[in-house]
Parts: sequence; structure tokens; C-alpha cells
Amino acid sequence: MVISRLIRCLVLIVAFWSGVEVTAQCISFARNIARPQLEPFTHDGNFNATYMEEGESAELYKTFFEGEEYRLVVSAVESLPELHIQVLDEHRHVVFDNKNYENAQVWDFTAETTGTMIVFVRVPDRGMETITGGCVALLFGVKSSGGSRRR
Amino acid sequence: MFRILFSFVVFVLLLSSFFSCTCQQQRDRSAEEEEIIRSVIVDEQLMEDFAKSKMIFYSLPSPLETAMLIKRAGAGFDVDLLNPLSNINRYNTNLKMALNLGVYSANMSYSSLFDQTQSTLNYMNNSRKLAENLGILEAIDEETIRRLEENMNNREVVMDIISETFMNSNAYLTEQDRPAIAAMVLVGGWIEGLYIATQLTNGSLDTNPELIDRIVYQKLSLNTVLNLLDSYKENPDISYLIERMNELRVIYDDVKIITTSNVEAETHPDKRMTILRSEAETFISKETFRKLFEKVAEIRNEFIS
Repeated sequence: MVISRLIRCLVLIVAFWSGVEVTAQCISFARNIARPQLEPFTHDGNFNATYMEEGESAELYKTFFEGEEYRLVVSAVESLPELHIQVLDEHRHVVFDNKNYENAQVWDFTAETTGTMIVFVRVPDRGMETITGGCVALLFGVKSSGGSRRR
Repeated sequence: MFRILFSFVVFVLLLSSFFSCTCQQQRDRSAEEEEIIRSVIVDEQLMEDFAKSKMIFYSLPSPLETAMLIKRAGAGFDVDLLNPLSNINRYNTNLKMALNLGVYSANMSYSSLFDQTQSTLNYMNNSRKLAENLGILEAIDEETIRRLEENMNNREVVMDIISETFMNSNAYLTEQDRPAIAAMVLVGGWIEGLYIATQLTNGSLDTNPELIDRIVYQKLSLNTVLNLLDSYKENPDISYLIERMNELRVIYDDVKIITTSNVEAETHPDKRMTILRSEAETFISKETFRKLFEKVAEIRNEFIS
């Protein structure tokens, strides 16, 4: 009876720590690997990172403000393939696709009008025997030394 | 018996270590499933991907971005708009601590953009206290305060430190499986930014047209706020925030943003950048702006009380 309880506790503890470890790795990955790629833009401070596996996708909704320049960094752990990134307008029309630009994982955007855009990210499925997973971070930087807004 | 138990524990630990280190899982895909995937044409595949999106992120303008928008609109600094530092003693619930961590982060960002060094440091210290009370002390540690003190005259470094602490707060709350609290911090920061912006207009549509433009377009951010909150609507504190944000939405419903063309993209591969443009018209009446001005102040003052 005692041993049975002990075993159940151990299983719960291990399950809990496995989950915590993955999330903690994502914070560390976002801070140390993804964030530096925003330079010379200033990170806006938002944390968008999660664990993803091959074949999975994520979307990020963000308002781009007129006259502002943004840098988008989508970064994944080395074990994952290069990510497929698309930027869509509110009607889901594709306005940028990184497949046309050597699968670029870092890209700058200048907004001449204000609007909400959707960043769509997909981890390609390589069709291998095992599915690989890892942290993916989507971060935005804002140009901090920009001048006055264009009208 | 103990040998069996020991073996089991070692087995479980090894198993756990394997999963957390390699993050790999065996695929279980049948030939039938493969056939279905192959038969989907590209556009349908794309739409299917959209529909199956595992994770949705709602990215609000952060306190730092909002402060930048306010400054670039030509607005000034008004110390009287900040939430008094002494109010910190009032915040003893998770809701109030989280909202005001966002509020103080906004005050800190606004101060730093206008080179108000002592104010920036004071609000960082208050943010640290709230982070500690929320159980995320590691988000703003002693080292952060020391770095801030050493670089107070370097605005770029100060902004970098502020953005890092804001990210840390959000990240550690997420790590602790408290995403609803993280959402409260974001909403507190967003409302404070909107409060500062609206107050800087003195309630008039004529004082600063660029700032008015920024405020009008927060209608889009409000949609993002509501979507974000909706993800955690079972939480009673979040329900309260949804109610308050819906009061704001009723007013924003009278603000018109009419997009008259699709978004056009002009990409410059050599510069690795894309210009996004479309045509839109906005309209807000004096009466609506007055209502918005008052409602934002009412909500913000409730948050900081």
C-alpha cells in the first residue's frame, strides 16, 4: 500500500517536472537565442514562445501601427527544420511568405497604414520515423530610433 | 522489494529524462492517413493548417511600444499621470498585483522614453516588489536593478532592460501555469498606456491629431484584448475584466475604421524588408471621444484603487 502510493507520487512528480523543464527551456531559448536576433531593434517585451512538433502550427495576432518599423524573429531549436512563415492580413490574404525568400526566419516590416496582421508559423513535417519537437519563439522588435511618422 | 522499487524509480527517471531531453515521439501514422494527406491540394492544405493551428498568440502593444507611440506622436511627459508609488501598499490580491505590475511597467516605460531617470528607477523597484508578491521574483532580480542604475543615462540599454523584465514577468507566469495572471498584467499595461494617451489630449480632438489617430486605432487592440481574455473566461477575475473591456467596446463601436483597399505588400529582398500599405478612413465624434476619455479614466482609476 505504502509502496503503491510512493510510486504514484513519483510518477506525478516526474510528469510535473518534465513539463516545467520544457517551459523553462523555452524561456531560456527565447531570451538567449531568439531575442538577440532582434538587434538593432528594441524588443517590445512580449513573450510568445511554445513547444511545437513537426506538422504543428501557430498564429500570432498583432497590430502594426502606421509609420512604425518592426522586426519579426521566428526562431526554433536546432533540431527542428526551418519554419514556414507567412504574414496575412485580416482577410487572410498572404502578404509575405518566407518560401519566396530562402526561408528567412528574420524579416523587417514597415507599416504605412495601421492594421492587424496575422503571423502564421508552421513546423514542416519531414516525414521521418520520429517526430521532433522543441521550442519555437515569435518575437517582435520596434525600431527605437525612428523619426517622425509618415502621413 | 526495495530492489524492485529502486529499479522502477530509475526506470521512471530515465524515461522522463529521455522525453524531456530529446522531445521526440514515435509517429503513429497509418497508410490511410498518408493517403489522405497526399490527396489534399495545396490551397486546401493551407486552409487546413490554419484551421488546425495549435497555438494562438494575442500580442498587445506592450507598455514599451505604447510609450514609443506616444512619444513619436509628439506628446510630452506629465508626472501627474503616473500611478503614485505609494499606492503599492493597496495591492494585496492577485488581480490587483497583476494589473498594477502592468500599470507600473507602463509608467516605467513612459518615464524612460522621456529620460526621467529617477522615476524609471522608482517604478522598476515597485514592479520588482509586485513581481515578488506574485511569486516571480526572478523576473526582476537585484542584478536587473543594479544594471539599470549603472546604465541610467543610456536610454537604449534602459529600454532593453525594461523589455526584458516585462518579458520575464510574462514568461515566468506562463511557466508557473498562470497564464490568466499573465493576461491581467498585459491588460493593466495596455489600459495604462491608453489612459496616458487619452489624458495627454485633455479630452479634446484638436490638441494632437497624431495622438488621436493612435487612440482611435486602439480599437483594433481592444479586439485583441477581448480575444486574449476570452481564452481564460472561466477565471472570475478575467470575467470581471471582460465586463469592463466590453464597456469600452460599446464606446469603440461608435469609432469607425473603414478599410477601403486590401493590404498591398512591397518587398525589398535585398533589404530583407516588406512595406505594408492599404487605405483606410477613420471617424470619431467629439461626443464619442469624450465618452472614451471618461471611461478609460474610470477603468484605470478602478484598477489602481
